[in-house]
Amino acid sequence: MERFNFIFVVAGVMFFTLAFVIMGALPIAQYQGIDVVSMDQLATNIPYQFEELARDYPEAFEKAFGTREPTAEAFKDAIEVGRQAYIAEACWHCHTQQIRRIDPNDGTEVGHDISRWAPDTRLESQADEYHNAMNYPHLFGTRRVGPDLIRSSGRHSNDWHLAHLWNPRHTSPYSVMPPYTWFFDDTEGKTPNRKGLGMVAYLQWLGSWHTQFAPTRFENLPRLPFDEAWYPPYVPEEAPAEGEADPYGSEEEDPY
Amino acid sequence: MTQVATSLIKPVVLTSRGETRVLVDTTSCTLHFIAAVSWIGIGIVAGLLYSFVFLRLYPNEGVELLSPGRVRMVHTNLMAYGFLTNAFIGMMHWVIPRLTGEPVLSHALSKVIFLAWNTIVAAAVFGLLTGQAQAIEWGETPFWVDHLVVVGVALVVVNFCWSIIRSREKAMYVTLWYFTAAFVWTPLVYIMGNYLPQLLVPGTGGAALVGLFIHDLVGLFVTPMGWGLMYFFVPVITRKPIYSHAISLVGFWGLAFFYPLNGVHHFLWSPIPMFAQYGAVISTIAVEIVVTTVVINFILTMRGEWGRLKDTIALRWFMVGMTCYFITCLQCAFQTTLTMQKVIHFTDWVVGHSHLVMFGVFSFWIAGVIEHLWPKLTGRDWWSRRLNLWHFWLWTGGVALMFADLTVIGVVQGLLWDSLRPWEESIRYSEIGWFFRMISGWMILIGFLCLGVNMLMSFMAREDHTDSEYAGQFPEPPTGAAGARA
Repeated sequence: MERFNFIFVVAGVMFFTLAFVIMGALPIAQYQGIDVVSMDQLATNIPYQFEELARDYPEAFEKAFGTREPTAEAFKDAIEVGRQAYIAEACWHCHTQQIRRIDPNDGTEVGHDISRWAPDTRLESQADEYHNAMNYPHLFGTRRVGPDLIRSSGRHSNDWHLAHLWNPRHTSPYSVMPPYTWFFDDTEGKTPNRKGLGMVAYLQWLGSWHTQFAPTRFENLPRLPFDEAWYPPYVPEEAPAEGEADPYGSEEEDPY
Repeated sequence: MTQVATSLIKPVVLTSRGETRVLVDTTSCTLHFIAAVSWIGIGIVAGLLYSFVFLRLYPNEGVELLSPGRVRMVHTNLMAYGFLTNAFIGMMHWVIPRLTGEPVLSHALSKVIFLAWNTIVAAAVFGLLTGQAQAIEWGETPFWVDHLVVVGVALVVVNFCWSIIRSREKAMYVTLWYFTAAFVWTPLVYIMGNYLPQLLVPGTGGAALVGLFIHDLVGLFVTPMGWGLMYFFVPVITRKPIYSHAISLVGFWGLAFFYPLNGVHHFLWSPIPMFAQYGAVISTIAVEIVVTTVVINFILTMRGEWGRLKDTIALRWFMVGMTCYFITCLQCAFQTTLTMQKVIHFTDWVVGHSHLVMFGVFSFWIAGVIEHLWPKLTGRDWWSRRLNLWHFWLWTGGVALMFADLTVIGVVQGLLWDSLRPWEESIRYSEIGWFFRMISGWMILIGFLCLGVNMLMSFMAREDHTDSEYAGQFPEPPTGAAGARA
C-alpha cells in the first residue's frame, strides 16, 4: 500500500475515476439522448425586449449587429455577445443563475429562493433551462451579492438595464455594483455599443422562456429527467389553444 | 520509526546509483519561492482592491482593464496558480530528492519549467484583465492558456516522478504518497474541469463537473501538497518521527477515497440529481473524520515539543495552519448539510470559509516552509526576527478577523434574504462586515510587506549572522559544485 505503482493506480487513477463516474458521468448520463437546444432553436423565441432595443436604438443597433431589424441572426449574435461580456466581467461571481428548491411557503422552514425569484411561476430552476447552446459552461454562480438573474427577463425595462449598467446607483441607490461605462460609446451613457446591447439582450433573454413563451415552451425545449421533482412541471392554468398563442402575452397575463 | 525522521535529513549532495550528482537543485527552489512571494504580493493587492468595491470606494471605476470583476479573478487565480503552485514546486525541489535519494529528471528542465510556468501565470493575468476569462470557478484562466497549463503540469509531473520511480529507498515516506497521488490527480482534475464543461457537457451536467473541479483543485492538488510538506517539515524541525505510521495510512487512503466524491456539495439544492447531492454531503462529512485522524497524528507527534513554538516561528506557522485546517473541516462537516445550505449558501460565509482554507491553512504552511528554508537557500540568516514575528501576527490576526467577520455577516445575509425583506437591506447590513474585511486585507498586506522586506534584506546581506538563534541550527554543507567536489 505504500508502493509508487499501487498509489498511482489505486489512489490516483481508480479512486478518481470512481468519483468521476458517480458524481459526474451518472448525472450526465441522465441527459444523454436529449439534443442540446441549438442557437437556431433558441432564436425561434425572440423576447419582445429585443425588438424594443432595435426600435429604440436604431443607429446603435445597426452599428452593433449590422441590421436595423430584430432578426434571428441579430438575436443569436446579441445574446452570444452578451454572454461573453457576462463572463469577461465575471458578473457570475456576484449574480447567480439558479433558483434553489427551497421556500418557506412550500414546506421548508427557511429559504427564500422561490418566493423571491420566481413569485409568478413558483418553479425552481429545472435542468432543461440549462440544456442549450448558451450554457457551455453553465453560469450557476456560487455567490449572490446582487439578485439572481436566471428569471430576469421582463423584471426591468431595457432603459432601466442600460441606466443600471451605466451607473448602478442611478437605479439602485444602495448597490455596490461597479459601473460599466465601456458598454457605451459616448460619455453620457446614451449610446450603448455592441457589448451594452448584447448584455441587455442577454439579460432579457434569461428566463424569457417562462415569462413569455410558456405556451410554446414545450415545443422548443426538451423535458429533462430529474429524479426528485418537488413540483409538477409548469403548465399554464389557461393555456391558449394552438395557433392562437400570442407570443407576447396580453396585459393581464403579464405578472409584472 | 526513528530511522524515518533521521533519513529525512540527507546531505544536499550525494552519490546515488554510483553517480556523483547534484541532488537538490536549490537554484530552482529559490527561484520558485521568489516567484511565489511576488505573485502573492500582487494577489493580495488585487484582493484588497476588490474589497474596496463593496464599500463603494473603488478607485478605478470606469477603467475597463481594472474592472473589479476582472481584478477578483486575478486575485483567485494568482493565489492558486501564481502563489501556491510556485511555492509547491519550489518546496518539492527541496523535499523529493531528499526523500528518494535521486535528483529530478533534469535540472535544466526545472529552469524551463520555472520560466514556462511563470509565463503561463503572466499570460493568465493578461487574459483575465483583457476580458478573455472562462466561466469556470478557480479555472478562469483564458481557454487558450488552459492548453499551456496542461503541458506545464505534465512537465512538472514527469520531472518529479522520475525521481520517485528511480528511487532505491526501501520505504516510500508518507510525503511521497501524497505527492504521487497529487501528480495523478492534478492533470486529470484540470482537464476534466476546464475542457468538458466548455466543449462537451452543457448546463447541469457540466455544473456537476465544475463542482468536482472546484473542490478537487483544493482537495486533490493543494491538500495533498500541503499534507506532504507537513509530514516532511514537522518531523525535520522537531527531530522526532511521526507518531503513527498506521494513522498516516488511514489519513491518506481516507482522503484519497472520500475527497474526490465531494465536489457536488458546491451546488446543493440545484437541478443536479439529488443522489449526487446526498452522496457529496455524506462523503464531505466522512472527510472530516479522516482529517481528524491526521490532525491527531500531528498533535501526538508534537508531544513534548509544544514549547518550541516560542522560538521556532516555522513550527508556529505549521501548527496555526493545522488548527485552521481542523476548524475549516469541522465547519465544512456542518455547513455542507442541506439544512445549513438553505441559509448560508451564496453568502459571505462561504467566502470566509475559502479564505480560511487557502490562506489560513496552505498559505500559512508555505510561510512556514519559507521561514524554515530561506536561511538555508540563501546561506544567510533572517535579517530581522522581529519582522518575522510581525508577519506571523499580522497574518494570523488578519485571517482570524476575516473569518469571524465574514462568517457572522454570512449568517446575517442568509437570514435577511429568508425574511423576504428588500434585497438592499442585506447590502446595508453587510457594509460594516465588508469594512472589517478591508481592515483584515490591510493587515494581510502589511504582513506580506514584512515578509518581503525581510526576505530581500536577508538575501542582500553580505555575510551570515552568527550571533542569532539560527546560528548553527542548519549545519548543512554548501550546495552546488563546491558541495559536489567535497
